[in-house]
Amino acid sequence: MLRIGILLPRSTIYPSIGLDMLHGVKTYLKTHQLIDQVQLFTDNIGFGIDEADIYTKAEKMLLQEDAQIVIVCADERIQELLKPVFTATNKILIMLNLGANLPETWSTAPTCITHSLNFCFHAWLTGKEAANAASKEAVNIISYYDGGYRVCYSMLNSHQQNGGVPAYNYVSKLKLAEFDLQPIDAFLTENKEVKTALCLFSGEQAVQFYQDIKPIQQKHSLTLYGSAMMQAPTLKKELPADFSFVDMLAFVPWYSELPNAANQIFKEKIAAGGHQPANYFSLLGWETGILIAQMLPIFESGMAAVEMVQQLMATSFETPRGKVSIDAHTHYSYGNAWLVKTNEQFSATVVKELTDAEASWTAFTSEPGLKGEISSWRNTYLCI
Amino acid sequence: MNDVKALILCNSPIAIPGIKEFLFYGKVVAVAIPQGNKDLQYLLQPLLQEANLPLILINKKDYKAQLMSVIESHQPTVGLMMTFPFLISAAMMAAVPKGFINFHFGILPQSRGPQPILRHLVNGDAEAGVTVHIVDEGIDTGPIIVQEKIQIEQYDTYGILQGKLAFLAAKLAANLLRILSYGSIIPSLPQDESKAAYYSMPTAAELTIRWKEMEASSIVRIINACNPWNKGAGATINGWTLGCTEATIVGDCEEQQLVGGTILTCDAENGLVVKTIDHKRLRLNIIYTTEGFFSGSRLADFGIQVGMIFD
Repeated sequence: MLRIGILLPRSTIYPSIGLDMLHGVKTYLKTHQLIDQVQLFTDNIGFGIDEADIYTKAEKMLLQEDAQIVIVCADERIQELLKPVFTATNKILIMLNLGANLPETWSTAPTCITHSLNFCFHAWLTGKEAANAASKEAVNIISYYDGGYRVCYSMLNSHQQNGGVPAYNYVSKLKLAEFDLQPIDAFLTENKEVKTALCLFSGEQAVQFYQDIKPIQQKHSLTLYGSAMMQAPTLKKELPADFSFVDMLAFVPWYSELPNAANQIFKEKIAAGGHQPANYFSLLGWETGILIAQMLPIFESGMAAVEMVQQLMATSFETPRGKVSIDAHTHYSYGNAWLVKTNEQFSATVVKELTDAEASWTAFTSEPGLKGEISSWRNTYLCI
Repeated sequence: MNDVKALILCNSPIAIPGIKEFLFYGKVVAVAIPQGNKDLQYLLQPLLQEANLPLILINKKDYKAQLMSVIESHQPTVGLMMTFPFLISAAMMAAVPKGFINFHFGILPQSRGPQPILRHLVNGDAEAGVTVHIVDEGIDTGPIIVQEKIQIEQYDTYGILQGKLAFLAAKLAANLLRILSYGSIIPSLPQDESKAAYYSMPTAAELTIRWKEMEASSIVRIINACNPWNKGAGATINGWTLGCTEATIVGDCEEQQLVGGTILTCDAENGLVVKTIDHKRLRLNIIYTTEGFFSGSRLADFGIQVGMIFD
């Protein structure tokens, strides 16, 4: 029996975040009759800020509860903290996150992998795409919250590196009551040549943004480029039922309408029994189930954690979003990407598919790292 | 949360970013350095005065007794060493609850010994790094807590690499502090002895350009390894020894018949360009002589001419 500890986050803007991840893991293992071969035990780590709490709980799972694998839903700061204890105990650490943050360096530890939806990577691709727009000058419209993650850095930086020019930077106020896009309207009225907008929002601010940007987009013929989180299916239910959605382009790691059999099964199984529809969080959990399934026979063969991780990196996995691999250089998982455009019903239409995922991922991770004084929010993305 | 009170022992400015991490969180009880290191004393004094902490100057002659006295009076829970040149005795280790932890500015176990940065550069290694390890009776032999590596860039000098590693060490120091604060154990793994290598200080011969043996990239490496601390890598021409402080490979040399070390140009327009054995044109941008630092082409003023050959 493989003993697996899972440290789950909580979020007030996405209250089901931890449950959806866990539901994804369990549903995959049940669907494939593997649930009896593992023993899952969980604990809660809040917003991912209390490092002492997370470290103590992870160490307890390793040293007292004899977990062979510990899955921690948190961002890179926590990963750096946990690597030594997992290396020393020769146990496997799987970091699970949406990838809205970046490590300061792509350093690896022999028994640690990060299973991520790589939002920074997708933002980097989107920024590059936006730089090819007819209007090189762009307004950057960012929420106070999203601006503090490296997903913002990734999008804006790649836009500029590829020839884009920031014409106006706008950061929304933290309080929703003070949300006001009128300065954008005023700027675009004065600068009619600017037709591109790079946008990063999540949660209730994303909902407000969609509603307030629509007339501005129509008035100024603005092409919107957004983050993967802005295409999250979870946002649709927050909008008015009759809301006619805005056109927005974004590279995403997965979209609900993805036409493959694995995605159909995933969506059916996740939603069965009255659960909410599949989303990014349940996808992460489901794919973690796939990783566990890959590790079960290796674990039964008695292989050490270091070799298990090496073996995982030598293969790739078929998931609801197609082929997912683990990069031997960074120990991060990566998969395909699609540039999608949302229609008025918030359904995604594929504009193009990334055909060179491996080369693009390598280019992304080979870029010079973050330099100089670096800051970002300390919690896990969306956990607030 | 564990109470962390660190006694920091160091001997180089490379330790300062890491020390600042511990100071920021108020986890230092004292810092000790060798008495002769006036430059470091000058750099640390204001930092420690601001934190109201003592800077203790250690004599090589009676350092053991001095350090035992520091341990007894300040009661640290852990000792942190960053380039500290004196060996820690078993009695000292036993007197500090969590023992001593060393920040080695090189990759272990492959680069044990003093001056690992210099060694990585001289050896032509692709990577340098910082290894944080528990101190045992040997030199750089204790179990590794964490290690991080960085690529050595073609034009990294000793000084540039030292700066990069200092900030890498600061990041690892912050991580170590958190592990010491939260953990019930200090996680570590024994070093792989099959990969171990110990290097002494490089000799003067190792830091001299061997024009008849070394390819252009190796020459650049050795020049960078000596910049700035040695003012440059040694080179001799017409019995005159000078230091090559900075150099750039500027292209291929078509004059295949010329031997390595032959001066191809020595003028203001082209600079001082020397042929290497792999048929590259190497421009010696900055030269050190006892008269001062000069651009390479200024050697013409000292009688150096095209066609002369470095030994």
